[in-house]
Amino acid sequence: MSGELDLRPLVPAIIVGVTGLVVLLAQAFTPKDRRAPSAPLSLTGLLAALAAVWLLASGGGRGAVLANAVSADAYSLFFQALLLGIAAVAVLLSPSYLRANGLDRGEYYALLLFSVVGMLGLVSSLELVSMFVALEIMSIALYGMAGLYRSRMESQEAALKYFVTGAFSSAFFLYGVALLYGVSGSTSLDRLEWAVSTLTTDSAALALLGAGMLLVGFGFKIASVPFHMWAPDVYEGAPTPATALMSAGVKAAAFGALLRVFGSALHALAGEWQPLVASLAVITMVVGNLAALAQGNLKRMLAFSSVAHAGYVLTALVASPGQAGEAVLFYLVVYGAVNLGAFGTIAALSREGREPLSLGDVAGMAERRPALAAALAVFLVSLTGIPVTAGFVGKFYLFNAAVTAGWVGLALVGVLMSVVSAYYYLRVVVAMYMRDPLGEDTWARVSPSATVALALSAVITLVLGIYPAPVLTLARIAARSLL
Amino acid sequence: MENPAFVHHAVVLSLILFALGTLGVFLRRNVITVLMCVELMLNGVNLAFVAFSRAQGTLDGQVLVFFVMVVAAAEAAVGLAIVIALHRHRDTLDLDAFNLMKG
Repeated sequence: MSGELDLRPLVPAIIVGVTGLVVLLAQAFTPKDRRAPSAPLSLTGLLAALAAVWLLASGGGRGAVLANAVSADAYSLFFQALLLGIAAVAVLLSPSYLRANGLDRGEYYALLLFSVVGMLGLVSSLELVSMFVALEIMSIALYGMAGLYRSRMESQEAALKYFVTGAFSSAFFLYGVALLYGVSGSTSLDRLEWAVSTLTTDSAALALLGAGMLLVGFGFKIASVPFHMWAPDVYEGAPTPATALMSAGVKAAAFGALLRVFGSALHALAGEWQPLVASLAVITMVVGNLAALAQGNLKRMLAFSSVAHAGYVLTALVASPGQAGEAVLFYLVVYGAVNLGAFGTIAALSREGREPLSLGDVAGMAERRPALAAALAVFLVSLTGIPVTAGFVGKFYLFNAAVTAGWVGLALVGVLMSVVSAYYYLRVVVAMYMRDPLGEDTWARVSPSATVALALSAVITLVLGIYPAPVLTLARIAARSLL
Repeated sequence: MENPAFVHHAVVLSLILFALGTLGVFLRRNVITVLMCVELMLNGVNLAFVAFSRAQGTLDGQVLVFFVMVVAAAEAAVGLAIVIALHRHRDTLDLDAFNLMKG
């Protein structure tokens, strides 16, 4: 490494972080009777960061910097573009929801941007302690977002549960880092990769314990069973656009880091961790889907569905890193668009502190709001994994990766559980299209910015279902830089 | 290189601290005590970092301890703010009392 300080790979994160500070200052300097332009500022910052990612992708300055701690390789850039896109859609969904619930303050957007800084760092770290610091930047901002709804007890409870489980899981993550440091004498993933390929019996035990603890730490962040118990409560209690960001963004960022650590650095130990990941995948899919069946609350149902989807993604990790990477990266794009859309529909209808949460609330929606009902139907059908939507293509590649690696049973559980999931997703579609509305339509008119966000999510879901090739190619190129 | 027996003892102690903290999180019901147990886990981690650092003969591990302490402080600040916000709603710090959402 040269002596010069090269910060180019960090530019997207720096732009987002500075935007967060600007949003806070704008809020402070806006007169009391006026509203600070927080949402447009945040959106501008996120788009500028996206442009920076584009420049990095097409130009130079992508090598590892800061003592090989951070890099802008194709893998980082793919995830950064995805995360910035997810955050931009979440920002578009926010203003109308925040106004309807009396939460319209700049802090919300600042916290959102700070958590995005953490996510960007998480996917581009080549070193475990940078990864940990990024994980905490992301999580601490999200604890605040979950508890932003100060007047609602549920939101406060969500913040507490998220915080306690989050802090608990970080301790596990860190102990894993400490043990792997003991094995390799360094926290850099390169050194770790080399160290685990030359293990003695003594250090093998330490390395396995360390890898296991890291897996527990990641397990909490991706909400895989048995580390999922916080997810339904937090998703239900947090403001809905924040829930959308958590379910789409946090999961993508955590899987990005998980795949880099396990698929690449710890690949020499694959024989040991793969059976563990496979069993996590099975119980996550089974418990997530069965619990979702029993939910009457839509947000809670989507929370368990997001648990189940973590299980589907885990099935692909048993494949070779290249193939797993391609399938997981593509799926995270699909999953991000679909989940933003599903939670976004609920958020967009929110009015005076209420939002449609039961089947009765959405009954007959197709008659009154055909476009919105059609969009929600597309998202739910895609979550089920029915052809012509992106969910089908995504699941196909995930299960295909598992089958190619010889884990046919694992893919079979995934397919069976997708069939089970059809019941609770399509139940909502049936209520929207085949039942008569209960009472008056008292929900909000969908705001223009939320319309853009929902339309974008729906178009991505349909286009990727019919013509997935371009994104698949990008995912393949990104996954190759892991090898 | 440090005496291997010393490093071994330090790592075992760090595991014991970590395990005690983990048990505390599951068994204690007061929010503040649970937060203290998480701190205990983090200090177990710190001890492991220092011990491994001496075993390796490098200073990396000791520097990492500072990262852990800084992050733990930031986390404690946000955590205590959440606890205060909760305490204003409900006059209790018992974790089992926070059970509005179920299913």
